Amino acid sequence: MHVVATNVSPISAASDDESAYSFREVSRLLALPERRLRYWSQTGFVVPSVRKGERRFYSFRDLIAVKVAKGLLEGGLPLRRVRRQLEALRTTLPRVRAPLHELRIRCENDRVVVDEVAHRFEADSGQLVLDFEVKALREEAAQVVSLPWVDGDDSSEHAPETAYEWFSFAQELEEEWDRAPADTEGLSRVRHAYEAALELDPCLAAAWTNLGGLLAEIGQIEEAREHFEEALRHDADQLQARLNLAELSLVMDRHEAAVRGYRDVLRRDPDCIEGHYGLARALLQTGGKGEALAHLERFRIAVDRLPGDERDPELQARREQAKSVIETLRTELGR
Amino acid sequence: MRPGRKLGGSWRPLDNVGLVTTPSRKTAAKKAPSPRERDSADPLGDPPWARVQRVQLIRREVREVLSPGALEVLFEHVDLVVEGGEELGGRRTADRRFYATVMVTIDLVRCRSCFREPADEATARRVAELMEEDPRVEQRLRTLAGRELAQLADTEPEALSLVLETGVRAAGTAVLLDIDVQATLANRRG
Repeated sequence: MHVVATNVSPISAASDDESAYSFREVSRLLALPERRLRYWSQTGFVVPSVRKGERRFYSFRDLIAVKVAKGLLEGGLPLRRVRRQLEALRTTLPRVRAPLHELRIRCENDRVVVDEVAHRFEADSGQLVLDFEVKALREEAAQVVSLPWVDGDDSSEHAPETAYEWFSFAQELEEEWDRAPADTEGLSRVRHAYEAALELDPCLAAAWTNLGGLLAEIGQIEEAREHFEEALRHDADQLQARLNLAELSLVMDRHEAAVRGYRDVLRRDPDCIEGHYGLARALLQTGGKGEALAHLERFRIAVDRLPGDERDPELQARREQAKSVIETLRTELGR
Repeated sequence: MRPGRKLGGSWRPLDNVGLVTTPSRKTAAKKAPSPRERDSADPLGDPPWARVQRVQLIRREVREVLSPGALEVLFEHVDLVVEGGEELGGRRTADRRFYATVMVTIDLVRCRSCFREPADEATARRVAELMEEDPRVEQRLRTLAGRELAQLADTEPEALSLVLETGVRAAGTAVLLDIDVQATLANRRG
């Protein structure tokens, strides 16, 4: 069994592959349980290739791979052979001359065939269920992505059941919400999902922390503090909650408390990037410019050492700000 | 990225860095509704609220201590000031007592070539914290103070019974150790 690409050339169709789809979107688009997608991802069967911060998304090319995998599995092919097909497909697709949207993918008895719409094969003998134009898939994907989220529209197979599933679901919703100020509905969905996780497991410190962050984000500072403290009651060593409490102190003008909080974070994790950044900001408020300079330098160096995909634009922007303040402080302190 | 954050910030005069006003979050805390309406005067933007992405199965604990060679390096670069003398009227008592304050200064800049870390204020502070809780430091200070007091008392260090009170702090790139020592010299008669 092998993959065939007609009209192949070394020209990549990269421009066709800029979209990023969440697990949830792919699940809805291809009618596959999210859980199965995650399982495929964890086992390396079909791994989402787009990274945005800590999260992974499917590129359009990945989407094709998922659809092919689903079709082949439904066609009764054993997993091992499907895996081989997918690997071949991955190497073949980038070499197809036509843009992705002009491709058509079909499966014959023993092989996946990729061809251009303009040069479609007429010989359809023995075709399996897999037969789709990529253009149509793209249009379908666009429709699914723009569908409104409706409570309870997912099948029971999609619905989170355990506390941790609710927690993961909340994170996905949070990513979708993307802190859009006007999207209060999106916010309440995220909140609801974290609360559902905590209802099932009140000891899930991660959910307390993330929900606290959400509350802090919308200005509910005291509630946020209670959530971070609750997180620490269940997981005293959780750094994120400690960082957030220190940041809250800074927000509330409790600068000395913020300094103490950030020092505590750095005692627990001397390489904590945000610990250095936060302590520098707190020290600038208390007049400790020399030490603030030292921590800003540590922050900048640590950011520079991060792998490229972990240096998101927000962090990069703060790194630039830090660099500028470092120069200012050096001049001021004569160093 | 935190929406609404104005990146890049505005230019701030040099003498103003320490007077940074806390940005939008502060505003948000006081009057809500959204911390995203930030004050762009802050040259350092708000970080995002820390989130837990995935639950950690294995957590690493980092323990910082002074390395075995660190004390050698540090104590080779000490500046020492000793102030003290014998207790008034001490010579008439059976046990002569001496008091002294031993001030030890270790400027990291002077020995920066000997260690990997930057010789800056953050390192000095951390070294001071670690010295404070390190029993080896206590032992070294005892030896050092004993030697100084023995000179004052014109005797051998072994003849002195010492009581120490130690304070460690950082000032700039220097680690400062202040030791208040009380030494008792038992008179050897006959």
